[in-house]
Amino acid sequence: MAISSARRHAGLLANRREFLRLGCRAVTGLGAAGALGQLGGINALAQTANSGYKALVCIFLFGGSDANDMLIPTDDAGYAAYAGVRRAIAIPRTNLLQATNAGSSTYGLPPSMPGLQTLFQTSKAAVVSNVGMLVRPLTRAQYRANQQPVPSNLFSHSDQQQQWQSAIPIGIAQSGWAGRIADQIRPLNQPSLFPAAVSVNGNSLFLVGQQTQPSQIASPNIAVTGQQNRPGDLERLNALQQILTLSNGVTLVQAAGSRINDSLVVLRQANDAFANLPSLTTPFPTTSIGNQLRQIVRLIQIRGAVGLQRQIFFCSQGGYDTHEDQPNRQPQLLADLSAAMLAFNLAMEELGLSEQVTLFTESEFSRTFQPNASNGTDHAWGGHQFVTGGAVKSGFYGTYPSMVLNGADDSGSRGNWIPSISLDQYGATLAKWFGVPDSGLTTVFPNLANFPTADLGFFKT
Amino acid sequence: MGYGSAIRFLEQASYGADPASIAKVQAIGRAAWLAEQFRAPMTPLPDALEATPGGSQEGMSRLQTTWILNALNAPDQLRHRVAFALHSILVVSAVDLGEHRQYVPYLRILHEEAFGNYRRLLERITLNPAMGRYLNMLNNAKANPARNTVANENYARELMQLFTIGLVELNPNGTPKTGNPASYNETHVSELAKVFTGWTSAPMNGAAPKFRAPDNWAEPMIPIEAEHDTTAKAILPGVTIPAGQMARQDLASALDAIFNHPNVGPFVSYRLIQRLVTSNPSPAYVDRVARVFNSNSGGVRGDLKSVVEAILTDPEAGTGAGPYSELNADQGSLREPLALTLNIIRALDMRSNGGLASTVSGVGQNLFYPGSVFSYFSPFSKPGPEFQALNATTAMNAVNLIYRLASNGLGSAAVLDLNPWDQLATNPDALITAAANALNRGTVNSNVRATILQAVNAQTSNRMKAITALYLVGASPQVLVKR
Repeated sequence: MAISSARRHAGLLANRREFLRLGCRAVTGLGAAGALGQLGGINALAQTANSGYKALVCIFLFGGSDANDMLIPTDDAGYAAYAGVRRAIAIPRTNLLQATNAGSSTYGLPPSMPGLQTLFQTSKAAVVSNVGMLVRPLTRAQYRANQQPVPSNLFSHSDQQQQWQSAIPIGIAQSGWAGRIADQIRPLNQPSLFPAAVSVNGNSLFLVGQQTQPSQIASPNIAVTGQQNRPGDLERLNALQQILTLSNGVTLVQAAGSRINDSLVVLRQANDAFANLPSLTTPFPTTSIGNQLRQIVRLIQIRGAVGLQRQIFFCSQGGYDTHEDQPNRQPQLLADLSAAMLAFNLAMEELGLSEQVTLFTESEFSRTFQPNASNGTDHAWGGHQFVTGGAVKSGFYGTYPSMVLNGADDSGSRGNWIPSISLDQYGATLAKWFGVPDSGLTTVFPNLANFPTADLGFFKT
Repeated sequence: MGYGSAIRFLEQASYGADPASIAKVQAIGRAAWLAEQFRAPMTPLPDALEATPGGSQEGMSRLQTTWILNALNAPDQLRHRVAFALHSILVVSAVDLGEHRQYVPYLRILHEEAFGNYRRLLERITLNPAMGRYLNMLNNAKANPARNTVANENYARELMQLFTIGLVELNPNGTPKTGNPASYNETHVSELAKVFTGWTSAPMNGAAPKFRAPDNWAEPMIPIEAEHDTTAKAILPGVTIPAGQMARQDLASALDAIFNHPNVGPFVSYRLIQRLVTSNPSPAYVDRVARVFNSNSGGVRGDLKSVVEAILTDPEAGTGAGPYSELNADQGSLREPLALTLNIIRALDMRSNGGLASTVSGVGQNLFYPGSVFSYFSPFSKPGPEFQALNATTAMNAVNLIYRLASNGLGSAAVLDLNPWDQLATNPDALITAAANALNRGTVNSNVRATILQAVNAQTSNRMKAITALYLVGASPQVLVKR
């Protein structure tokens, strides 16, 4: 499908016209309420210090990553409590990589995460301890007596993934919290019609807004087959797009047609921009997560070409459901994660965007502190998440769980930690840094007011 | 039966409507066709090749290719369709079990039990070692205070959540009961986990049975009583398995209790309807099928043959008269990538060597490698499960797949004889009608026809006219959605 440059140029102009025509249709679909909301939002956003580009990048660790083995106490008392429960699967103390501290308690990373240790050492990483889904603050006594509302279907992968992505702990969510952030910051991206929210690995609720729709751009070159600038080729492509948008009143047919057409429009514009991609010298690991973060770098590099001041990205890594053989399975995953996170941060430094791009983790739940019969761990609740980038105030945030089975932090008997920080607080801190006005934070996180603070303080400003 | 109705039925009950099968269904009708399919012998699945001298085991690609070839050509079409639907519910992924010898015994159970009883299917799947490895029942030991370990909860949790009952109590029509009452709680999961302790690989070559025996993928797992938890187990609200039972007794007690939970009929029916017919079935449709699951004409619970028949002959599948002669505007389903590919190949009577797995994967469905225990698509995804895999990348790949199918761009994986289409191209109207007859039940919206006609007329050769007509009809959203 090689296309000579003259021909490519001709096609590019046609694509642009097409994009504007079809893109306008997509925006009018937002309706009057969306348009008015935008106008109101411009003033609110103009009052905050929002000049310059920013991006948020989420890595979702699918399967429920065991946080107990991602941040381990290294002081005498803490390590003894850890090893006393973990026993056969405990990571030896001498192998831990010192990372951070909270008062006299010190914490290390597993030996598989030297890249993340580098980010802590260079003051570009923070950890938020025991964060998870909550409806409101909760104690063990309240949980066991059913005295407070709790997220529905705790410990279920699918439900907790949806909740971590939507910040809606009860009921069926129609949008994700990053999508609602994209709604909020739309005035900053005007007049670009390119999606602010992009996944590089499949669809995710996380990026779906109430007014804006995400796209998915997994590769730098994917184009329509059969377009060789022969006579009739462009007519065929235009006919395809017309057919995809013709209305016939059937719900699924309409949904499929418009989703495919929107995809063609976005990919054609992205491909035009990718054709002039600046170089990057930072090497990336050729793992799945490394390739995904490399693709996100490309999408950041075309920010000017597609006219965006704010971008939000979603990528993911699977395999964390370590019910079995955790000491062999989790370290490989964390090694890939750590190396890719370091490469991404180095790439942002190379592009001069270190302070403007924040990379953070999510996972649907952590895992039982007490192991199971298969050298593995089972589904649990609160866990630790990492935030990295030049804007981050490096350090430890929150309260490490008590590590006592059946203790005050345990919802059950196996070390299913009740979160001491809610996802709402974690997300709101990221959203505020990103430029969402205070007035918009409760739209993005409906339960935020149930918690004592909306800013956990892990950014410098 | 009308031509269009025959195609719709075949797209629900087989991997697509080729000219021969359309003629057959039109001649003998749904009931006789189904009866013939229920009797059709099972096309065998191939055994794994011997490991190479270096010890490396055969991977999945020959199995994928063979299975696709069978789905395209084998006489037992309905069995393939139902087995794959069951695979989408009772998931084992080659992401973790990527050797032919691991995967094929699991797949055989689905083919063998496609028209059998769900209780028996559950038991065979529970004891299948690939499932045992995938969801960690294999070598799951009872609690060990010295090691501070307890039973692995994974199989217990997913058996209830994904295979049988679900998290919320259901009405008989599959809708959640008022207030979304939980079907069971965390304690029930931990207790059920104790049932699934003590199971290990069957001994080979005359070895004595022992716990953590060498892997034996070909035979069901066997119990080692010393590693089985014999305490009493409160596995569901109101259901306690007494202390002191052997592992097989515990298993039977637990599977009986789970299988008889009132959720199972609507739970399984809803998912099978989604896989075969429509993404958003009405509660009344689910209710009609669930009643058959609960008790078929002979009073048997869980008879899949009766359930499949009820699904495919229901008025809401488009089999009825009047309002049911067409599906209503909210019904149908986006063709899953595998079905999309195979439907077109069969509709155009193409030849294939079966080597389509990587192409289908690009459109969003990696055959036998579902991404998680939630299978290829979530049953809850809106506007339909298959939309979960439709994004910019897979959408572009889908459109490009159809171009390649129409233009012989997939090598020997899909070979189309374009000569008759070239001849039709001298009459563009007839060309579009023929493409719609093959790919869209003989219908084409007048606006779509006008648009295609314009594009066809802009082509400068009969070959490109033929390709353009097939491509644009095939990629129209009316065809991408099966209804």
